[in-house]
Amino acid sequence: MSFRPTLSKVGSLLTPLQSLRSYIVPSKAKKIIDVYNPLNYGRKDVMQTYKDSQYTKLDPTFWRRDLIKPSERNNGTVLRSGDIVRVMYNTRTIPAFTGQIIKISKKGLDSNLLLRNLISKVGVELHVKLFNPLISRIDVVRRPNQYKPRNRQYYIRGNRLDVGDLDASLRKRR
Amino acid sequence: MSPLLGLNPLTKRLTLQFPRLVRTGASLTAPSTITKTFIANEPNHSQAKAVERRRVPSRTGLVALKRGMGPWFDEATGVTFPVTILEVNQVEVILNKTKAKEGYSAVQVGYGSKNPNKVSRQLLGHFAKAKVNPKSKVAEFMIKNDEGLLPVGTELKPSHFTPGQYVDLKGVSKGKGFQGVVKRYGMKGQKSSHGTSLTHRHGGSFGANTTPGRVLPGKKMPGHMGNKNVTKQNSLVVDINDEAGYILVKGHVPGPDNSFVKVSDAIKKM
Repeated sequence: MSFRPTLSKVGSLLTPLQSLRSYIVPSKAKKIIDVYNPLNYGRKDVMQTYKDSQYTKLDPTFWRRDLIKPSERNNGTVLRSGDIVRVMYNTRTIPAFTGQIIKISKKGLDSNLLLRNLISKVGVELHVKLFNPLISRIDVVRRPNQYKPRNRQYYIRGNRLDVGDLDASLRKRR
Repeated sequence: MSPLLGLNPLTKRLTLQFPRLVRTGASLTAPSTITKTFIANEPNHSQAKAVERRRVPSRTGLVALKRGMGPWFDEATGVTFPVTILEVNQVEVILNKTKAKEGYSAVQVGYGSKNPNKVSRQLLGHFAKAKVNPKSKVAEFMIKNDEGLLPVGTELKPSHFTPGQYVDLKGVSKGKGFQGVVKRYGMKGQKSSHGTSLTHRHGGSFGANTTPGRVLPGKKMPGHMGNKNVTKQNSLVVDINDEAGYILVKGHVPGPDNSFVKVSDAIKKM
């Protein structure tokens, strides 16, 4: 063993042969490693839980969902583009808005209507989020005799198909 | 008359310290015979100073999984804004790093669970030491000092954060592949007509002529876009839910759905 340095030279740095890197202990036995069980919660899908919690918070009586989704509660009558609706708010700071629906966007909690009206000869449009907690009710004021064959009726803007002054026409009707 | 009068401060000090060696008059004494005293300052570029300078939170963060987005309605004001849903599931402390041993303080946490057959034996031993199940993701959170360390095996829940506080979110952004300068850096490109020849979405001039005769380093050019570490600072925590195991943060979070995000206290709000 000529390559091994003498004890006097290296002293405490001298290591036994087994701990050298190139030395492999021939052994067939594998060390058994403990594996611990996961903390099992049995949770549901997080996105679904979030959506359910929002629906129960914002729409406990299903009236918002029934506006756009046919069900037994509404006998299949839902909002359609062309309907004239009035949106009422909880607070006095936001006045009620009447308008004709020119788009319905069905995106779950993000569902919204686009309402159009002519107020003092100026075309006015309003995006209404169905699940906005400040909205107290959405009433259908009038339905058209014949529906147009589109959901998105942007093409009516600024031509003969455009909405008139809805507030005035409703007053006249009464 | 004092012999020290009229001398410069250094000579005066050395004269008082070594009266025999310093001569006030002209002499043939070599300067090397005078021993100088150096005030040794610790350099600012050391590892320890760099750790001290670093802006890090005083407590650990946690790893979360980005699950998707949805709307949030404020019941009082009716204000609506988008939120991101971050899932927090079986997040446990695996290891503590201390200033004495590693040179900095940090907490290593793991997320979720993984099939033990698909984990290397080295990592299995690491998890067994902490007495936790094999984790699908392991991440480290550097903290200010050893006071913020947590006992190994502590479970971190969404209630680690409180609604209304601000957090920093670290993720890996969506990869966009090799992209040109118009998409990558928002450059304007060239005109579509008026004599433009085959260079409609180019970056224009890349440099000067003979001087300096090369393109300067850092010039914005086409290349790989996205797939980078991105930090979003000061995101508002909107809501937490321990039972369902999620955190809602306002706005967007870097990276695609089902990717890991590191959530920690906002360093700019401390």
